[in-house]
Amino acid sequence: MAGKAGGRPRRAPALVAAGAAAALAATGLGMWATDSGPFRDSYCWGAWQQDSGPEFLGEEALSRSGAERRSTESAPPSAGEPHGTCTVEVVSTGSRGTSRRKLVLEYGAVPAEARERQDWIARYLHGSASPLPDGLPGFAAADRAMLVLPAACDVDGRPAVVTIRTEREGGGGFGAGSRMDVARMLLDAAGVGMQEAGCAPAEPLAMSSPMVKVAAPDGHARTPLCRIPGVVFEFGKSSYEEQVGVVSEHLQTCSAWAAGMRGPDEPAAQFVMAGVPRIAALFAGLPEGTGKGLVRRVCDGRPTVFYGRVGLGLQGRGRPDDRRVFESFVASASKRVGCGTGGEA
Amino acid sequence: MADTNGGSREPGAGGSAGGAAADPGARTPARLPLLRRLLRSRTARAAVAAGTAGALLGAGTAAWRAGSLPLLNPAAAPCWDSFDDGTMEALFGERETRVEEESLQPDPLGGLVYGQCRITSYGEGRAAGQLTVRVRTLDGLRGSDAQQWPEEFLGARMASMGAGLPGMASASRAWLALPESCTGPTGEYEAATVVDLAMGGTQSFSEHEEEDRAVLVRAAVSAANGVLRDFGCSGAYRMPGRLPEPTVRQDVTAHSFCGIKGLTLPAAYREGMTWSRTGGSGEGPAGVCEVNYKSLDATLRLTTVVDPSLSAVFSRDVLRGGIHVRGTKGNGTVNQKRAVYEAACQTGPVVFMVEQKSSLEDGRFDLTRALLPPYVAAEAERIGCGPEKVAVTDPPRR
Repeated sequence: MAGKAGGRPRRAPALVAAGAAAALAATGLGMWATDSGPFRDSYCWGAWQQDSGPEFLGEEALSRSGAERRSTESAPPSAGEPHGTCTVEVVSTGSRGTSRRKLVLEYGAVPAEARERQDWIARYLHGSASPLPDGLPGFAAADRAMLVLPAACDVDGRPAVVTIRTEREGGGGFGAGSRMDVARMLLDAAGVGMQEAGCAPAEPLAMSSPMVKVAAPDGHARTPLCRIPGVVFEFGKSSYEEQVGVVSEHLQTCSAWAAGMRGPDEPAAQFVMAGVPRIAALFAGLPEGTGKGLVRRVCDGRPTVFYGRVGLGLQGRGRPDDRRVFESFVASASKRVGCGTGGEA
Repeated sequence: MADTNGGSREPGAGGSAGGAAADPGARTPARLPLLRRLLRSRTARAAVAAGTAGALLGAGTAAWRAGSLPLLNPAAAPCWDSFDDGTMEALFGERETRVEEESLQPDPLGGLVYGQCRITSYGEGRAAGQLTVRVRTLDGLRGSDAQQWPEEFLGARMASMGAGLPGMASASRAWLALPESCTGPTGEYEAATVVDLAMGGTQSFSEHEEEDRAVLVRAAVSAANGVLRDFGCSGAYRMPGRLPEPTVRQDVTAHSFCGIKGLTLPAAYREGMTWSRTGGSGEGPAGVCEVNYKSLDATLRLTTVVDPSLSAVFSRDVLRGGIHVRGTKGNGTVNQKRAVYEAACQTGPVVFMVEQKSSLEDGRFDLTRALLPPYVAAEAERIGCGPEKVAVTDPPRR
């Protein structure tokens, strides 16, 4: 490439040519080094680009010999059919057998059926996921993320959401990138999804701030669970782990699960307080009442939901009983945010 | 967009524990392999781009000869490309300035300091003002930041920045914690990594206190964002709009003490304590009240540290600061100058601290013992962590 400009006897142009050649070489080197070649794959209705930052979309994910990245996608969401699924999978076969890591992106309404919705809440409002910055109603961890879309995207009265989850062969998830990477992927996918479904807001959803607090792994479940006064279980001989999530003015999450079992996605207990309207909307339609683990209060003029669910392993192990444990959660979380006398919503 | 932090260094670290174990790799950004960090750093990439563009225009040779290749000497703004012209002017006016900037990297043998940047301004040929910006992880383990740093940066003149920013500022001091999405989560013995700014003495009085504080807040946000770019972390703090109410000065009366509901100064101490100044705010990282005693100096300081990444700074005092005390949800220690109590609140460990800075007129030096229980009880209630009852018993005599 550089030869074209070189070869002339005059000195200055030669220098310029040399400079240009060096520059071109440097550019090439820079592009190679930053993995930003001119031709890149894109995934999931064009929401994501190969080598755009997240580890799972970059070269590193393919570092094992024979590793391949594949993607599948359904038809994009549309106004008539407002749901869609897309996967990106990395498969590699090495001396230790085949490894599969699959990331699943979904667009659509939250599950209608109560049990399914509760499982969904256990997964995406898990304590390990931290709230998105800039007041965006959603959560992100390295291995999962969820964003509640604006009400214009609601489907049959249920909120539409965009979710990312990860599956590793043999169980559990994996980190697709840093939290911020995954949050960015979520926002990009939400933008494309809403555009396709025809419900994109005039002002696109924007995320520019970092996450001030992220959840630190907590380890063994404690008494009281997640430092919430009165949330006490008799763990018996089984070992449980807990994860305190966000504890802020309008949000609180807490997850517990049996150690070593199927991990965080087999929840033993979950407690959520949500005064963020779009997050609170995720609980609409679930059976309500203190005995059913869902009550509403008005805190400082703000409708707030309190949700508790005790899985099979810990059922009947609340002290003094499961119902009182939930009442204690409601009382403690309300008191923390100054919602003592808010009354029923 | 490709900016990323160390979190992605550990593909699949979640393993069977999934998200619970997912993020810890995000901490200590500076330990990333240098080359990778450079390649992912927006600044460095911008420098590469600027360099190549310059070369293509034929200017490269001249620049090289002049020893000012953009790649080696990017025309970066002072202090890690943080302070633009507007910020510099707000800080120093039209004065000439000199910038001394260290590159950001911690002592490879376990240091907590990343580096500092000092800007000195000159007027009429001599130094007229100075701003020092430091980037450091506070010591959450050995207690080496439990005295001087809180003295300067958690004083009652500090007001919280608000707008969700984890920082505080006065007219002469400001600090802003880096986000945990960059540094990794903080924990029991891991305190925040902060950018702190100091300009002038902490006790100087200014007629323009609020304006000065606003300037320092903006400078702190700019500096933190510059550090985030330097570390290759994504996201940038937004400039706060209106700042929360400044600190409040009020008289001490029989019924009111530091404006804390349910707290009164025992009558035995009331004489001579005339006014108090309350910093922080209801929802900031820390609340502080200083009470004077027949002088302008604070004799008594009451501090409640709600942010767990800051309360960790006092972890050693909680364990080994003096005679042990226990309470409903926590424990602590008391000595003459400082009583520290840590309670396990829903938000995490919260530290309540009572400090007596100098003796009263008759030589009395017993405020910490007397005030810890009522202070903890009143503050725990205020932050929604009550009821909390602390018993300070007499030390065992031998």
